[in-house]
Amino acid sequence: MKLLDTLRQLTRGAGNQRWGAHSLLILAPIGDGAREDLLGELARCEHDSPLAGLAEVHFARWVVIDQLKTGFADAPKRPSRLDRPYLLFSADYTPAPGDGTLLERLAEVGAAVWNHCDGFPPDGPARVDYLAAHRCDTTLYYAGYPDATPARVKTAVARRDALTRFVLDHRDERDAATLQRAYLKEAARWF
Amino acid sequence: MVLELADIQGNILRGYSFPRAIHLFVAFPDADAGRRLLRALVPQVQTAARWDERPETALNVALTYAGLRLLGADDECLPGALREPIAQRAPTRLGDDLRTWRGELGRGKAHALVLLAGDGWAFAQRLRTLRTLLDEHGVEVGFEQRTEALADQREHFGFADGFGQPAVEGTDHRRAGQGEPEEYGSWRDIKAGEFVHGYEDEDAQTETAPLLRNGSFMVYRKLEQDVERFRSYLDREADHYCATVGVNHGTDPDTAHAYARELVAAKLIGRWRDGVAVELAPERDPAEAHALRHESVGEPDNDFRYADDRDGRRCPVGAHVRRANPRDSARATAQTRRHRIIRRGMPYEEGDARGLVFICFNASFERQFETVQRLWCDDGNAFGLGRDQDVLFASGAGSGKLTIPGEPPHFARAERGLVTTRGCEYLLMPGLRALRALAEGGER
Repeated sequence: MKLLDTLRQLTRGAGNQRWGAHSLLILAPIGDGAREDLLGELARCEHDSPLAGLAEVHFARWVVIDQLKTGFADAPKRPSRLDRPYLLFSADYTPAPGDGTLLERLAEVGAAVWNHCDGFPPDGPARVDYLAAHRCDTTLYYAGYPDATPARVKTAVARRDALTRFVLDHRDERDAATLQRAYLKEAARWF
Repeated sequence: MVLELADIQGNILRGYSFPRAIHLFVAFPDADAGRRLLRALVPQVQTAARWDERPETALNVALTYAGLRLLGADDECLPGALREPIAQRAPTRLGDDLRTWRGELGRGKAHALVLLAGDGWAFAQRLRTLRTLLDEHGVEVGFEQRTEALADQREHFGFADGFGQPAVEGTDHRRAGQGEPEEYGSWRDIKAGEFVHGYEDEDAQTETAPLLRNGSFMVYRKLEQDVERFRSYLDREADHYCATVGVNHGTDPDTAHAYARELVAAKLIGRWRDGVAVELAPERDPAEAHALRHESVGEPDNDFRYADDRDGRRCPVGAHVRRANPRDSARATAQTRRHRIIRRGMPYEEGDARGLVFICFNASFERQFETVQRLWCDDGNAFGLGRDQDVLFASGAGSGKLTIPGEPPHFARAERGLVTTRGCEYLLMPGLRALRALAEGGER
């Protein structure tokens, strides 16, 4: 827990919200000898992500931190070293209306991943408490669309794709009035 | 900062420009045989040390992760990208469809890659000697690839290629426009650590392990090019370009069409076929369309930037070379210097099949080659282009369109299947000391 404590001291008060964008950072120690199995589980997630079904999440990732970076400019002469690998989870999200919190949903869908972390409870609400206990403030995060929900972003992308298809399908149309009629007809389905 | 050129293998920092090469992917029967072969090869390896007289041939050696493991290398320092079997990694990280891969390349059997470059009798003679040496050590060649340079430094789609390389600090063969753009029109060399381990990189990191010192990570990709498809694609797009945007030079229709073909090709690639950058010359004389395809400019001017062409009116933002090296383009400015690669590809021809053996060197597969390929070429989001893809790598995941900005803009259709990956391998081309240590079994 030393790393988490240090990080908390460094990030205390940084907050987890900028405008409409929220962030979540969880840092948990990986269990003894569990690193390889965890990597295997994360590799499976690349093809079938348990996070894909979380409607409020814009972007999320798990990262295995084996060791702290050294050798960079102005690095301390005697750098701190981790005594074990850690699992970092970070996400930016827009809170969804309705029941439950993101932590509750994460404790359920991400259990197969956090199971490899030291002390992650086998089941029950204690899992949510575990994630909350390993959370720390986020000092720096990126939100591409801080005021839009993921659903709105997806709708906008679908409209852009539909417009692209329209442009390609009508690129030989030279008559402005015909083009306008075609656009109004198709665009009526997009909005 | 002085580069240990005699410990760095040749062809990384400076291209050989030999007209011919053969690449032999070999499997060692066991660790001892592998070490014995390395001991025999190491004295033959061409280094980056300056030569007074150009050698007639040059031999180099790279190792796969399987090879490094077999030889007992300390693999703690090796990145996940090299450890992961490439056939597993390529679909997710490079967008490859393994059904298009052919032969043994990238199938996990190779331990080492022996590269021999040269020409004529000397090349043939040395290749015979090399094959005998491999036989003597019981080493099996699982996959071999011949390459041959085309006239005028062209690749099979007809573009003069290979001169847009990074200027590397500590080397003396560099030109304006190849490093990192700085103020007042000047250019700074890219730190050597971006390409060769053990030197300061653009993040001021120098730390490395003995196994990696003076070595470079190598990407090997066999890319088949459908030349007929590219030709007919350009014809169709030229028809459309003439009908919509038009070639307003009072030229006859045939000349206009021939020029539109060259113009569309140049706008999508970012260079004219003779090598001239579109950013420097957004228009050419339509009457010269034919010459563009047959006469290369020896050393095209590379001293250009994109910052004054944010909307891509001169060179489209999605053009191949602008994606691969965005220079000072607004949204990627800060990152470009961390995502450069040194390319050493060469064309190949096998019966009807033609293509490019793409080889590049970098210090990080993920941060450099994979970022350029996956985030910059296979997607347009980094440049504000949505799902628009590079013309050469169009797939089902893209928007299906390419934009040539203008009044009016030209919306080209993306054509799939212009370039098909036939196989891929990730390797380490170690420094000479590391290679010797591996040969002696002492690299631990």
